Amino acid sequence: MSDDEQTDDAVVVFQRVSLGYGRGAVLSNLTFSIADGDFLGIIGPNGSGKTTILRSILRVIKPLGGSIRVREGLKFGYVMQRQSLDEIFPLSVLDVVSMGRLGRVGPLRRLFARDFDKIDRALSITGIQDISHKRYRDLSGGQKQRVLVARALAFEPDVLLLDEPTNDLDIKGEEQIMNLIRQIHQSMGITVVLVSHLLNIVFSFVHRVMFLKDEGMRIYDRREALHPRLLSEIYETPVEVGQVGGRFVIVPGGKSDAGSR
Amino acid sequence: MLALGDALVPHAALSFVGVFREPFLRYALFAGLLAGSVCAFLGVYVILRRIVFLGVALSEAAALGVALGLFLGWNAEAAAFGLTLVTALLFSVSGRYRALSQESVIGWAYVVAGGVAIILIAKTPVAEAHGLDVVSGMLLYASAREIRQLGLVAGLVLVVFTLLHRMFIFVSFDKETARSMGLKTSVYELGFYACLGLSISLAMRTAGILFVFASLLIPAMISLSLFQRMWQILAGAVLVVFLCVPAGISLSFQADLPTGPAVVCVYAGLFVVVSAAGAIYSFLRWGAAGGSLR
Repeated sequence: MSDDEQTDDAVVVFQRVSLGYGRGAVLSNLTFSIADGDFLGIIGPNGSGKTTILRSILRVIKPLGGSIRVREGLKFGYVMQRQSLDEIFPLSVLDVVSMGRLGRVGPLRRLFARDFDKIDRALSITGIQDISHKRYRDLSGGQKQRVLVARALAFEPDVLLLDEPTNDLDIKGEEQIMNLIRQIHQSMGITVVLVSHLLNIVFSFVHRVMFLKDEGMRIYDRREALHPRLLSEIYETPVEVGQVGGRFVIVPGGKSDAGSR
Repeated sequence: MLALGDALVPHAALSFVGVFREPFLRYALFAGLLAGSVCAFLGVYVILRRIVFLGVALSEAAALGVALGLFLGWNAEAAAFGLTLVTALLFSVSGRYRALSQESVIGWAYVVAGGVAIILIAKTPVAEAHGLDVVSGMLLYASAREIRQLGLVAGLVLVVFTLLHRMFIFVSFDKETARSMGLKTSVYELGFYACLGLSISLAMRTAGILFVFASLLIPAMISLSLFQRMWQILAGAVLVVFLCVPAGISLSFQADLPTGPAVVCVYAGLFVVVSAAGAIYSFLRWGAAGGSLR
């Protein structure tokens, strides 16, 4: 399905957008929209431009061509790759989560009781109240990821953008973080855009999937995208799709025109 | 220097604290405490942002400003401030270009500023005398005017960082997320570099490159190894200055040593003591917890 339809409830609309750094385009002619309440997964190999799409939505980088429209007043909660953060900073969990309020209160105002209520709520939702006075750098990978999600929630976002939230986590950590993201999406009604290179993670949680390949992209509903023939064509290698315990499992192998599903 | 001391009390009898009965040493003390404190405070951020090399490059830019000012017959302080500020602001944007690392650009600025300063000093008779002092410092000749200027800058830095401390930390720790929340990160970056440039240029003019760079680096290193919380680390770095600068000035007067390098040696000595104490404490804790080398 080519997603060039724009709906009234679209919060972000890309129209013939080219993205890149300097003169070189990493992605060209992107036309798609993200609807209010969507749960979109962006998949692609390393260097395909997954993070670049997030950065362009956040307006951290400008498009080389085309236009990106964002609904007025929309707030984005950004959860960047935690490996990018320098752990030399002597910050507590509370210090990091409190940063989420700074975008709301402005430069010269201090945080008030209502801000600390929002921070407490974010700590509670992500289940890290007990470790709020620990140092960020002393936490496990899964705990750090929760802290960054809590910081994004403290900003009271309309859209949560997550960049590889399960990187370097064990399977328990992966499961816990993805369940947390699903819970946030379902109970708080927050639109979620998630970037990952892990097919199994993305397909088990998202509603729609965007594949990035050869400077372009294609968007499918999850069920539609789970066809082995389509995945084999996209990944240029035979792929099989199975189900284990209600979760989708995608593995290389089999014939390109057939699958177990 | 000794003549003044001899006029009041015998040199050997001057105690550690007693030396500060000398008015010119009190001036040196006030100037050293102000210059050292503001550098130590900003040094915590310099280390956390991993821009230590920038600190020495800015000190060198300030020295070039002094040399340029004397060579052209301009106000040396204004030239030092202007050049340091421009250099600092250039570094605040140079990180955006991917082809060259910021580190290489800082290295370029450091060697060019140092080289040109030496040439200008060699070609200016007035600057030649000042040139030696630019490195070792002229703390003992600090004037009331310099102390007032340093006090003003220290006050300004304190006010700016008290108001914007959380923003500076956020932008330093995670600039991209700060931008995504709509914060004007480039304004905070410029503010930080302007404070750094202003402080270094004034402190360098009074205390010299060695003193300034050591004050940016060592008190923050000591404090970071001792304390956990940001406010403790900032206060600890300033406390180190209040311990080491009087000791260094007193040592320099009593042993007839150059003042800037004497303070640097006291900083270094305290760092060695703190590091050794930390290592012994860790070893004892490890032993108490049942650790064994076998």
